[in-house]
Amino acid sequence: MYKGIALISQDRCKEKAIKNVDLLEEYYIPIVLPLSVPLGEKIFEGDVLCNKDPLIHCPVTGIAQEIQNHYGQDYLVLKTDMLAPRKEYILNDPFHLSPEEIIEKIRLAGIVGLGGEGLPAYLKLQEAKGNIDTIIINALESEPFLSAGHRLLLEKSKEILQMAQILKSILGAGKVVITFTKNKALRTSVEQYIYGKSIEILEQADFYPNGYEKFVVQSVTQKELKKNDSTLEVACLVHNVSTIFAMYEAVFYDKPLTEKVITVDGAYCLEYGNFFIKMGTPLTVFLRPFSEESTYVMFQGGPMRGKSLKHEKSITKTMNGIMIFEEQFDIKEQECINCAACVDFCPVRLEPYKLIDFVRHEEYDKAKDHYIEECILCNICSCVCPSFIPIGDIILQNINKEGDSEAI
Amino acid sequence: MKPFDKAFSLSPFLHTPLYSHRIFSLYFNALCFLCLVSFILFGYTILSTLLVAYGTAFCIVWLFKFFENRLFFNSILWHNAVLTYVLLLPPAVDWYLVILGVVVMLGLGQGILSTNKRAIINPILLGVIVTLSFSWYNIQSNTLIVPILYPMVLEANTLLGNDTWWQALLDSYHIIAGNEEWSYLYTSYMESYEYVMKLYQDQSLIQEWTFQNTLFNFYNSWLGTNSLISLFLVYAFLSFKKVINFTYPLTYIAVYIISNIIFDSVFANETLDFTGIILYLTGGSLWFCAIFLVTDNFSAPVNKRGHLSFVISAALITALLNIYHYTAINHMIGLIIANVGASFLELINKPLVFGQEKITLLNKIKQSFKIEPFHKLHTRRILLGVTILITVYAMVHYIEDDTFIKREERYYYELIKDVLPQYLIEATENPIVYQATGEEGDEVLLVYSELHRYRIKISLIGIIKDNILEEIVLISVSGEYPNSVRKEWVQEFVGYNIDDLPDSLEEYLSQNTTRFHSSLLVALRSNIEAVLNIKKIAQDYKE
Repeated sequence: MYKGIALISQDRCKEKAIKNVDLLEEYYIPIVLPLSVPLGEKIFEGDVLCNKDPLIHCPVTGIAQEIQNHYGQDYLVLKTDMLAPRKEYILNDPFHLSPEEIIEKIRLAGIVGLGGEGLPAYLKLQEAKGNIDTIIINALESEPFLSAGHRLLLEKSKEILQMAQILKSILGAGKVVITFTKNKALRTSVEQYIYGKSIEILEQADFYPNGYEKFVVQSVTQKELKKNDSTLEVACLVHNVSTIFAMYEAVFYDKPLTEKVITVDGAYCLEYGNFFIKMGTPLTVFLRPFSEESTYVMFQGGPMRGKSLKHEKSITKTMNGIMIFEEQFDIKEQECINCAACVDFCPVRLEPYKLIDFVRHEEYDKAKDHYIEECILCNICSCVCPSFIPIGDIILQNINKEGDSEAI
Repeated sequence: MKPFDKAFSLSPFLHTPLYSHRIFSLYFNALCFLCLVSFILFGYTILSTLLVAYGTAFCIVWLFKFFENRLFFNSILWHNAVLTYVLLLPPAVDWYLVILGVVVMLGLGQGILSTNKRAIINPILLGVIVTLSFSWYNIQSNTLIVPILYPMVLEANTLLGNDTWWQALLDSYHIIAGNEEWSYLYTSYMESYEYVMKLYQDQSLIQEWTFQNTLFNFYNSWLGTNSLISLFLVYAFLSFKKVINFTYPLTYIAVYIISNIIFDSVFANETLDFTGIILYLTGGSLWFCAIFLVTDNFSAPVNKRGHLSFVISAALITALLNIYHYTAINHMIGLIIANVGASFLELINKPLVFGQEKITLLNKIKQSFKIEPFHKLHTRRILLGVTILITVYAMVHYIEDDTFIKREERYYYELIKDVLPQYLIEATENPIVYQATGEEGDEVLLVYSELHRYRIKISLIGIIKDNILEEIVLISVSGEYPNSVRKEWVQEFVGYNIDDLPDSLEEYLSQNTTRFHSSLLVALRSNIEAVLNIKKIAQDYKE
């Protein structure tokens, strides 16, 4: 079985405890219109800003000033009321609640898949109810630099495992598996809250891309799923550890999803580490002072699958890492030497060298026949290519292109 | 100095330069053809690339012919187009064809292949290119020696008689020579060795070996050696790129050795001893092929399992061929045959995409075998087809051209002139009993020898009575191709009329179904003069 590749470990953030970020004067909250609060008036922390699924909540108390459009995305500009007291969330007893009530709480908290999926979490729970055997809590972060999940699990093990127990009981699952990268401290932290055999621990080696949902499912169930298959087909529900923690806060404290743990790292960041960051926090606050735009590149996620943040203005729910690195000049692409490294290292066993040949010749039908859609865009092919061909980028640009059957 | 005496092989498994050149030519020609077939059958882009890659060799060779050994190394990017055309163009092709092709390929080829983004750096090709650049002139003038072996040769000569590694190596061949089957190797090796001794005695012929001399062709060079050097250079390049995988050559060597041992015991009913294994292991071609396999990414399937099966197939085929006839060229043939199946091996070993259901082999083949209607063919394919047509025309034209044939003729002419008389005397002095039969009281021996190094077969028949070689007759002299050795040359240089004799010994024997002895008498009667001539040599020898 393919075990992934060992990337250079960059885990300086792993050692740093999660910190809170001070209140900022302005927030740019990404919203979907129409807005459910009036502009120019004071709105409070936890207020619902948009009623469409998933719900979007106000992260801080302040005045909704205006709506700005930035590269097609609407942002609500929120002027923070620095003097307003922070909202206090009171602990509830969720154990007497029915499954439907718990799922409703999760819906009202506007929780989405925080691993990057972005779909409302309650939908997944509704589908999974009574249909699953295993709940998998995914705390694997195989990409270098990222450690938000690791820290969260380390510091909030009790809360996460409590929520896992609740999910297990409301969904009727047989077992809960919590999976993370091998780490002694983390294991100790998790084990102290596990009673009996209610929760299993699955430690995995630090190989990339172990954290991909389908690989996690495979390592638990030994069954392979296609990219677009639902994990429910093999009676599994997979949730990122951040999502579980957000659910915990929603169920135990009725706290909506207004902040999450994000790793900030890179040569140009103001301070590296893991932070509780509010949605709508402007990206520029992470930058070192005097950084010129031409000298750095900012992206979300890890360096392997990261997406450029050129067109984004602030933190969204699906971000789990902000990386700010020095802008590097493009390495000149050389010609393919048929070394088959991309084939040998592809975790989904595609033939990337063929795929880029097809898309470069605009033979999208053939690319489709060769399962281009199954590419998980892990970028290992680009990483291992001795000719520096940006295979991953080329596939990313063409993955959804349809072939014109009539074209010559 | 006799031109052909300069050839020397490190091991019996490596041939003379000309012979190596011939092997490569055959190899490339065969591969080009196979690429075309595979391309049509499987439509793999890699194979069109392969086509280009193998064309590169010929292109550069051709260029060198005009630039007279000047190092012609430029960026290969824009060549993609031109090289496709020059694909199979051998030297001496007509200018108008070349110009036409270059225009076509420069104009259209850029769009055809440059977007392919495939490199033309098949190491073996690079090796051959570099080699031919060094030795093109030498091949023409037939003055080839082994620069890299010179230090070794000198050492061997200095230490002759001492127990050095060189001597030890020689001893191992002596042991092998004790086995009748290996005897021809022994002969071949001794010839080489004696030649080296002779060469060393003539100090004036020895040039100082320097890197510059080798590079800039002031020094004679040898195809196989330079290819190996080039291969090592490319090996270093690929190591730098971190794409070297030792699994393939090691698998090749292991499978080759093991299967040889098994086949020897099953088919030849022999147990291979330690010396035999050493012999196999020290075979130059084996290592040549192993290095080729480790550096070649073009003619092999582009996935791990496919590449491994390719390597195993090549080794098994070579070992199977060894049962029939043990020769260095088997490695090449093994590779070529494995190349035929490269596309197929790649197909059946295609990795199953994560989460997909297993596809049967039949469906895999069906999927890959899609012939698109003509109107849907991609422009570049049509243009590629046009280019291939032009190339084929050039090839046909080349075959009709007699330049190559003339060169071959000259080779054999020189060979007969210089080597044959000397060889006849040596054969008389040291007859090898290959097959013996005859009437009661008579002992008839057949002296049959194949001067492998010179690509020539010489058949002699002699009669022994009471342990004395009484008569010996030259039956035939034949080259690699029919009529490549002209009988008048034999007559001219040996004073020997073999007009009435068949072209080969096999033909001679097949025509005479009566007892061998009778056949021999027929031969003797028709060549009485020649027999007397040889008999005189034999008599001198006895005295």
